[in-house]
Amino acid sequence: MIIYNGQWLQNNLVQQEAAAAYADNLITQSEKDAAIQFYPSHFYSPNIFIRIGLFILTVLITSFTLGLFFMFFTDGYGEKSIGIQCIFFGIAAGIAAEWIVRAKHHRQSGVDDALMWMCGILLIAGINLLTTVSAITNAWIILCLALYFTIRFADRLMAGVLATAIPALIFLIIIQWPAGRLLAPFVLMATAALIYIGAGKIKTAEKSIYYRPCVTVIELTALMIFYIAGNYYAVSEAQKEFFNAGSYTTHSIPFGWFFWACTFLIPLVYIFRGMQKKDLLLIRTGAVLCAAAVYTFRFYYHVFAPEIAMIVAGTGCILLSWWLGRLLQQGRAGFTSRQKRNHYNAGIEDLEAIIIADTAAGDASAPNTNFGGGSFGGGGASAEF
Amino acid sequence: MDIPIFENMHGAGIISERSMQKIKARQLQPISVQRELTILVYAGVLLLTGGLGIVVYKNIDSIGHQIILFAIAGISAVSFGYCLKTKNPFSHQKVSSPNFWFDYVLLMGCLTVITFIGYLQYQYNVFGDRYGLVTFIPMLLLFFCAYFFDHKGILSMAIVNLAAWAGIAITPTRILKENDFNSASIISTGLLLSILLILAGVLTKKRNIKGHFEFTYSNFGMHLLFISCLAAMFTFGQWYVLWFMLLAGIGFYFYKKALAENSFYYLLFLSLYCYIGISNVVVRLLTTFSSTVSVYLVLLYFIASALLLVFFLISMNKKIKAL
Repeated sequence: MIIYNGQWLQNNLVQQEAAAAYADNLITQSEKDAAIQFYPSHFYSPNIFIRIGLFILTVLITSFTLGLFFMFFTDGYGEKSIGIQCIFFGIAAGIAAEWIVRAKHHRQSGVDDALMWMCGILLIAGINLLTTVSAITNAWIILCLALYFTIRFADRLMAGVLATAIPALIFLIIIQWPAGRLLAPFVLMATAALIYIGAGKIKTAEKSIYYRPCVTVIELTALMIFYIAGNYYAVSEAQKEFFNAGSYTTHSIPFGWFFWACTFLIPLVYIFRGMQKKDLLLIRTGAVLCAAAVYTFRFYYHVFAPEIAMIVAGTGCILLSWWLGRLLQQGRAGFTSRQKRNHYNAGIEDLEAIIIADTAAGDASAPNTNFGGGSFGGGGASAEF
Repeated sequence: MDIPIFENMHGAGIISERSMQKIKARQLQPISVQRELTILVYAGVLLLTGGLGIVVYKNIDSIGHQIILFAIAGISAVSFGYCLKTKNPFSHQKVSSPNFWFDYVLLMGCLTVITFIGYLQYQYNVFGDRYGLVTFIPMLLLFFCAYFFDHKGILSMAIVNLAAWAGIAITPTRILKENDFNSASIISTGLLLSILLILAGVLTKKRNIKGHFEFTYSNFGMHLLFISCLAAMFTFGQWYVLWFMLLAGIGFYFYKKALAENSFYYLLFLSLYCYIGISNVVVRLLTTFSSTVSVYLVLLYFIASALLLVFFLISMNKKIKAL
C-alpha cells in the first residue's frame, strides 16, 4: 500500500489545514506554529520552483546515464538491446524512487516525481522496442503501472492516467465487435459514470484520507470522459478514425440527435448539480464544457463569422459575470461573489500579470501587427529594427 | 476546512475556543465563486477586444467601419469612465481595486484604445512614417494607466510594448521563438533594455513608488538579461570567456537578490541559466579532445554536474527556508 509514513501524512494534512486557516485569519500565528510543532512531519517537500528544478535535473541525469549505456552496449544488436536497456533502467528508476522516498523521505520533491515517470515511460518504451505489442496490451500495461503508482505514491497525475486508462482499455476491447462499435459511446459514458460514483464512495471512506487529492483528479477525469464520450464532434471523429465510417456524412451519425442533446445538456447538468451539491469541481467543469459545446456547434454551423462570434461570446461572458457578481453580492443559494480570503497573494497576482501581457500581446495587437507597418505589437517588431 | 481536524487540535489545546468558533462560523458561510467570475470576465474581455480588433480591419472599406470604430471608442470611453468613477484614491503604495471586475474593465479600456490608435495610423497615417510612435504612444498610455490605476497586468503590457518599441518580443511564449538572437543588434538591445528594467525595479523598491511593481520589472529584466548574455556567448564564441564572466556576475547579483527576498523563483532560474553557461564552456573545452573520448566526457560531465546542481538546489532550499 502507500509508501509514506501514515502518521506523517496525517500530520502533514493537519499542518496544511492550519496554514490555510491562518491565511484566512481564522487562527493566530502562535496557534499555527503550535500546530506545526505538535504535529510534526519530516517529509522533504521543497518549494514548487525547487521541485521543478529537481525534476528537470533528475530527468537530465537519467537520460544522460541512459545515453552513456547505449554507447557502451548497443553495437550490433539494435532495437532489442536498446529495449532491454530501457527495461533495465525503468526498473532501476523504480527502485531509485522507492529508495529516495524511504531513505531520504522525499515526497513530491521533483526527484521522486521524475524517477516515477521515467520508470513508467522507460518500461513501456522498452517492452514496445523488444516485441510488437497490441494496443490492448499497452493499455493493460499503462493501467497496471498507473494503478501501482497511484496506490503506492498517491500521485495525482498518475491517478488521472489511471482514470483515463480504464475507459481506454474498455473502448479498445469492445470495438473489436460491430455491436461494440455502435455502443462504444454509451459503454464509455457508463464506465465514466461508474468511475465517478466509485470515486465519490472512496472519497467519503475514512481510510482513503491520503488519496483525497487523487480522487478529485479521478472525478475530474471521469467528468471529462463522460462528456467527451457523448460529444457530437468527438463521436463523429471517432467514427471516422476508428471505423472508417465513410458512409456517414458529417451531419448524420447514428443517434445523432442524442449526441447533440448530450453536447449541450451535460454541461448544464454539471453546473446545476454543482449548485445543488455546492461542488465547485462540477461547476467549473460544467463552465469549461459550455465553451466546448459552443465550439462544437460552431464547428458544424457557421452562423456568425469568427470575429462576430468572439464579440458576441465576449459580451455574453462579461455581462454574465457582471450579472452573477451583482446577484451573488449578498450571498444567495450558498454562493457569494465576495472574496473570502483577504490576504494579499503576490504570487498569483504576478502570474496573472504575466498571463495578461502574454495573451494581450498575441490577441489585441496581433491584427495591428499585420496592418500597422510591422513595428506594432509584440510580434512583428524585430523585423523593423 | 476539515472540521474534525480542527476539533482534534482544539481538543489538544492548540486552538483557542475563539478560533474554533471562527472556523465553525466560516464553514456555514456561502462558497465564494469570485475566482470563477473573474476568469469569466477576463475571457469575455479577451474575446470582445480580440473580435473587435479583427472586425475593424476586415471591414475597413465598408461603410460600417466607422460605426465599429465609434463602438470601439465608446467601449474605451465607458471603460475608462467607469474606472475613473469607482477607483480608490491614488497613492504611492499599493491601492486595492474597488471590486473584482475593475481590473478587467480597465484592461478592456486599454486594449480598445490600443486598437483605436493602431487603426488611426493605418487609416489616416496620423504618425506618418514614424512607426515607432505607433508603439511609443500606447506604451506611455499603458505606463500611465498602470501607475494611475495600480494594475500589474497593464504594467506588464507596457513593458512588453517598451520592448516591442526597442525591437524585442519579451513575453514568455515569444522571447525565444520570435527574436533572432544571432544578431548583434538584438543582443545589445536586449542587454541594454534588461539592465534598464532591472534598474527600474531597484528604483521602484528604493524610492518605494508602487513597491509591489518591483517583481514585474525585475522578472522581465532577469530573463532578458540572462538570455541576451547566453546568446552573446553562443554567437560571439571567440570572446566567450568575457561573456562568461558577465554571466557569473549577473548570476551572483541574482543569487544575492534571491537570498535577500527568500525567492525560490530567482534561485531556480539563475541556477538553470548559469548551468547552461557553465555547460557551454565545459563542452567547448571537452570537445578539444578526439571525438569518441569527448562524447564520453561530455556525457559524464552532464551526469556529474546535474547531480551537483541537485545537491546545490536541495541545500539552497534548506538555506532559504531557514532564513
